[in-house]
Amino acid sequence: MSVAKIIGYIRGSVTIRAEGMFLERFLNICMHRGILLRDVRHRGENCIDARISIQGFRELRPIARKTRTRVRLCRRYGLPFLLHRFRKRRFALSGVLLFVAVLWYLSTHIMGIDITGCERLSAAEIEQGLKAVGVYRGAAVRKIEPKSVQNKMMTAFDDISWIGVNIKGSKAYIEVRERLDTKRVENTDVPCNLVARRDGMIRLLEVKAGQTTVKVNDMVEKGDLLVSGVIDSTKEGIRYAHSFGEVYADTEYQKSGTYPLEYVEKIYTGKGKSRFTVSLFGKELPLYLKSGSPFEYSDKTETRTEYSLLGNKLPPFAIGKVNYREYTPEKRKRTAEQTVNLAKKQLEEGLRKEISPSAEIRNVQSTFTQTEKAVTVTVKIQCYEDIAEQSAIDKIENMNYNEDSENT
Amino acid sequence: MIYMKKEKQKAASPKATVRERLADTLETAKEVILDFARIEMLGNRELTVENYKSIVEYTEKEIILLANPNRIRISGCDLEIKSIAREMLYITGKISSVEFRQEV
Repeated sequence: MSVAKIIGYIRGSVTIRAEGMFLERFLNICMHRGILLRDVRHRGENCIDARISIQGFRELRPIARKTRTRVRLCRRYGLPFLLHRFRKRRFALSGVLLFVAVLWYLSTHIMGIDITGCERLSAAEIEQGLKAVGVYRGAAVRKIEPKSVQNKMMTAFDDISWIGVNIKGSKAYIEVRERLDTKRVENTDVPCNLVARRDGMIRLLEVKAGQTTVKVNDMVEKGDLLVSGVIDSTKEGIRYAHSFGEVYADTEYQKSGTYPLEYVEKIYTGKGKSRFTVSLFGKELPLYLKSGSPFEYSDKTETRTEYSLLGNKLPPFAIGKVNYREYTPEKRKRTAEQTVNLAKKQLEEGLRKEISPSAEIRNVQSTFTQTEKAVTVTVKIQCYEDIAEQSAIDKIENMNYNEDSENT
Repeated sequence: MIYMKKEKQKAASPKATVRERLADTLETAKEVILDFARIEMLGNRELTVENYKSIVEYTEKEIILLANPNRIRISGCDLEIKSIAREMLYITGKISSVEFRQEV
């Protein structure tokens, strides 16, 4: 019943009032021509009300003329009339259509990617990888096959031991399981050498596999062979080993810089200006008109804040803020001592970033030379660290030879 | 036409026609073979007439239909034709009587 009502609503109908002397004849002709009349009701002498479909109403005119009946339209009912009214209100209709379109788009396309469980790999890396296999914001959900995405991702990233791809509505939940430790899992059958990562003097050798080619107190340069994976012995012939172990050496890090005695200090005036940009769907929209710096001398700092609406259900939009701080440059002088101290501090800080955290810092030295206008400072840091680094043996001929010798 | 005339004459006579006898033997779908109107009622409130020919008169108190073999006169009050189609007529209202009239 309700279904019939809905269909009736979609098709639309009209209520008519027919007046005339030969209403029975009018009804009979309608019936014979297959025009369906409903709710035919008497309204006094020679007058009836009835409901009729729109199509039927169009066919009514010749019948009415034939039977000399006056047909008047009383009420319109249904969707076609509503649409007709909307035909004039173009923007209201387009709003409705836009709403439907946006709703459709938002519900059938990936609107958010939620990556969990990655520790070593960054979420951005995984996102990039996902993009390559077709999972990105705005991708059609029905085109994504979780199984194939899983396979492709697992082949693309060695570090991923398992990846779960769940698409719920318009959001993709990516669950990543990384391998426990890449070095341990690494294939230990592949022959390799150990080479020097840095220049240095060998102090201690702790080689667990492979042929050591250097001695303690040897000076080595970056890239020098420390432990060979190719072991040539007179008894057994050539063997290949996956060499590993630690080679400790004294290494040196050096950095120098020239610092002028006269320098420019920035004195902030306290004036500042901020400019905002809104980025949506990866497109930047500036919220300002003038481009370029608003001050003659100013520091520029850019910050970017990402907002996710409704808990990542909608694509995130970001607001970028560029802050200009005005300053007036002022020339100042400093003594050589002050300059050297500053230089030392800055250079050492820079060097410490280069040094691997496992290295042991033994000594920090600094020298400086002074000219009339500037000081050149050199900072040296001496360390004690493991310089061994694995490198693959890329002589395939040797490999083949190895296989042959095993066969014979 | 001659055949039709004959049949009409026969139908008027009390003797059963060939059609009637055929319908009785077949037992099913008598209204199809006999081409009679089929009337269905739900209490005194609803009435459906199938296989009628046309409407002769229609007012709130009385509806007269042309049908085979007789005219049908439905009387009552607040009579309304809910739906009207070629083969079926659906009437609602308070029906007091359904009559078959001989006169042409």
